[in-house]
Amino acid sequence: MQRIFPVSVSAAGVAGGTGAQGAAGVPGAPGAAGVSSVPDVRRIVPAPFFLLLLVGLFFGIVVAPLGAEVTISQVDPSRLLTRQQVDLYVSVTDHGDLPVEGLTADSFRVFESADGDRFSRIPNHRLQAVADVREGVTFLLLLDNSGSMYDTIDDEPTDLVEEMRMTHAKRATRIFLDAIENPRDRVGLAEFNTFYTLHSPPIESRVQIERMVEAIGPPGPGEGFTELYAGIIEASQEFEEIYGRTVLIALSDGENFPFSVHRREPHPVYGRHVFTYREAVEQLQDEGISLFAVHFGTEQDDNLSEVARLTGGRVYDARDDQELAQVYLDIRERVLKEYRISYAPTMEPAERKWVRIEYVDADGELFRDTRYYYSSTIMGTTAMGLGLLALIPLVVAVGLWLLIRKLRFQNRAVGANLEVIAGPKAATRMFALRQGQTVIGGAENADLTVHGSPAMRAHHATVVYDPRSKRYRVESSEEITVNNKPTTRRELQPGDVMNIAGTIVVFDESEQDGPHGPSQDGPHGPSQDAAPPKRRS
Amino acid sequence: MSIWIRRLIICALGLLAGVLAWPAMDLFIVHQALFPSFLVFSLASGAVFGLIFGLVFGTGEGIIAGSNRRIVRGGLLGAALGVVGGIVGFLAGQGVLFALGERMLRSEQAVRTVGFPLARATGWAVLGLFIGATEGVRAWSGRKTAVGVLGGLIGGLAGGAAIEYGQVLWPQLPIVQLPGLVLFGVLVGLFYALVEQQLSLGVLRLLNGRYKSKEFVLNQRRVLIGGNDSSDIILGGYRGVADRHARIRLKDGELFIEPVDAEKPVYVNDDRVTSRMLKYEDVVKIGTAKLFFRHE
Repeated sequence: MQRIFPVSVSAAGVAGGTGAQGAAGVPGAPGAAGVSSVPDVRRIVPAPFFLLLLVGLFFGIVVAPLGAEVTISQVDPSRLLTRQQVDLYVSVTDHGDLPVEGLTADSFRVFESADGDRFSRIPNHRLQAVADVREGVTFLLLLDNSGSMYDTIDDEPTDLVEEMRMTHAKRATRIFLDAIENPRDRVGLAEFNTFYTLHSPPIESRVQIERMVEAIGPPGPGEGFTELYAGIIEASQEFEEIYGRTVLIALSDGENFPFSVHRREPHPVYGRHVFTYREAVEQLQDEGISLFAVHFGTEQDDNLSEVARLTGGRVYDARDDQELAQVYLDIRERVLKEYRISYAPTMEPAERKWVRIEYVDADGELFRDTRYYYSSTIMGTTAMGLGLLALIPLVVAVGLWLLIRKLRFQNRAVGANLEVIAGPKAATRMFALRQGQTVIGGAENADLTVHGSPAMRAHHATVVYDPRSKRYRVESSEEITVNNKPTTRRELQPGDVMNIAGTIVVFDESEQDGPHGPSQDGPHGPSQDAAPPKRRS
Repeated sequence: MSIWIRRLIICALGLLAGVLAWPAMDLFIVHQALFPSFLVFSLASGAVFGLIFGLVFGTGEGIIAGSNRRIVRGGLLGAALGVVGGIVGFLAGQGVLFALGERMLRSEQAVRTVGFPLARATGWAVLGLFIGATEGVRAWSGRKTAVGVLGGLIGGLAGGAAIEYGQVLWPQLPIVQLPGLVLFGVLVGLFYALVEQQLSLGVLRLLNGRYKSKEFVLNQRRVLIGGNDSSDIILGGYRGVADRHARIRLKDGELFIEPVDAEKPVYVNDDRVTSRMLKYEDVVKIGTAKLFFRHE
């Protein structure tokens, strides 16, 4: 959240506000300096409002004195592709940290930027006062189930179930569940101690959740640690497939108390990794989830308020089931009093777009918050701007196509030939045939020498040209096959297939021109290995 | 033309489609802001890319068969299917991008360099899927369509990843999109060929005549052999070949050859047949054309 006092700017206001949510919600954004740079807003809350806070404290509810602000709790771009619409969930609180109601679309201004620097105003945004009546709100209750939850509120060990914190927590949870009126609201339940356990993903049946809450039992040996941040991170992943307003309510009675740090041995699931609250912030922001954290006991985790603030949530303190029930109801009320602002984003190419909301309150004080969302297209964002140069690849491509089109791949062999298409050395090779005799065999002095075939005789078969009939025939002392028919002597037709001791040889002669005279290959003709092939297929 | 030349031609067509798509991609990015919405942008860019790749790949079988009619028909069908594929692919890819983008932008660099390209590659993969299906749909063959879908999908995913990784590795070098698109085209062609090889039922190799050494991959349940362009295996220029002469059918995992009607002789190993199961190394004679049936 960035707050700016447009007139008579106070130094505290400007310094405290610079890049606030940019840093909070947008790591790496221009002007952002990471989560740690978020200003301590307590410094800039006007003094009279501490009185209000004290009143709040008196009633035991709101502890974190966050002051007036506008916060983008969630950016929902899920309708970006289908409706060219981005939804922002925005909460506005006054200096008493109470939700500001009754605002209209004119109360807000929406800006967008492709570079995080130059913002342009987006006209015609729409505003829905009650954020999610139609779609419902999705809550996930994350309950601390560490060993201390079975002590009394004052940290005393007890065997009386009625005095245990967990009993109070269960009772308060029931009140919360009973108070949910919108049938479209969904509630899920998870617990954490040393381990994270999901009891139910968000569902619409409160009765089932109530039963599960009742069934939660004390942790076993070694399960009593408080993996608070790990629990928050794991719980936030339960929202991955859920659209709309999503809220994580984490109830804990202590600080983050990791297993691996205090046991000095690797965690059975997380190993030596110790989760930090910053990881929790990033994960929650990734999922667009607000964390509402409830301290329930004497100890509290200081970082939780930061996590809650940076995710558009709140931190509460409660000491018994009545206060706890009140906290739950307050959370629900705050979420329901958020505004949903919908607008049509710009189409500038950018990996991410920054969206900024500005709100001016009744005193003329300007509040602003900035978040970003992902907006890249499937083609990316970098272009050359080819202009007329685009014609070059166009011409190259068409020319290449015409070239391929011209390829005919027709047989240009003339005269009779033999082609070896399969055998021990199976490379396809073609040999022109002479008139007279062409000996096929394993011997080096054969006209067509076939190596590597043990069954091949030195001179296995002979292709003979008959000048009277002007036809070729094959003769063999051993049985060969022609077109898979056994034979020792047979006249050859174009395309006949000879299997000579496992070597497949095809006889062909140009059909158009008829048998040809002797080739110019010389008296000995080619050898499969010694002579280069006349043609390749 | 051996099968390898056939495959080279398909890959070459992929290459030139990539070259053709490059200026289109450039234009779309430069003028993205003119589009009214991401939906219209995805529809238009998907349609144009699908048109380019579908049209070019669609002409492939016609070029290989040497048939102008098939070039035109294949090109038109390819363009039509490509438009559908491009639209579906780009919408799917864009949807995945928007769904994952928010998460990945904040994630570790390692996730970003894997997640983003894969999300975008999904869109290209769907485009590849439709491009691959073109010839199967043209031949109205479920098996051939399946070959194309699988080949196109794998090639599209690999090619899409290539396009994206080019941009990840050299973000300041826009020309990197050219080799990316070319690789996309080539990989779609290559994987089409590889899947075709894996799912092939065999190959018929012409042993004589004008198209001697030309090889036909059998990957359909029904293959028509004849002298005119509507045949799957065109034996134009061979005497004694009727327009629709013989057909090969797949039955119980075996291929059977038979004449289209009794008057058209079909020989297998010099025996005239009415229906004959084909075995490897069989020699088929149709008119003056002889074909050798072999394993892929």
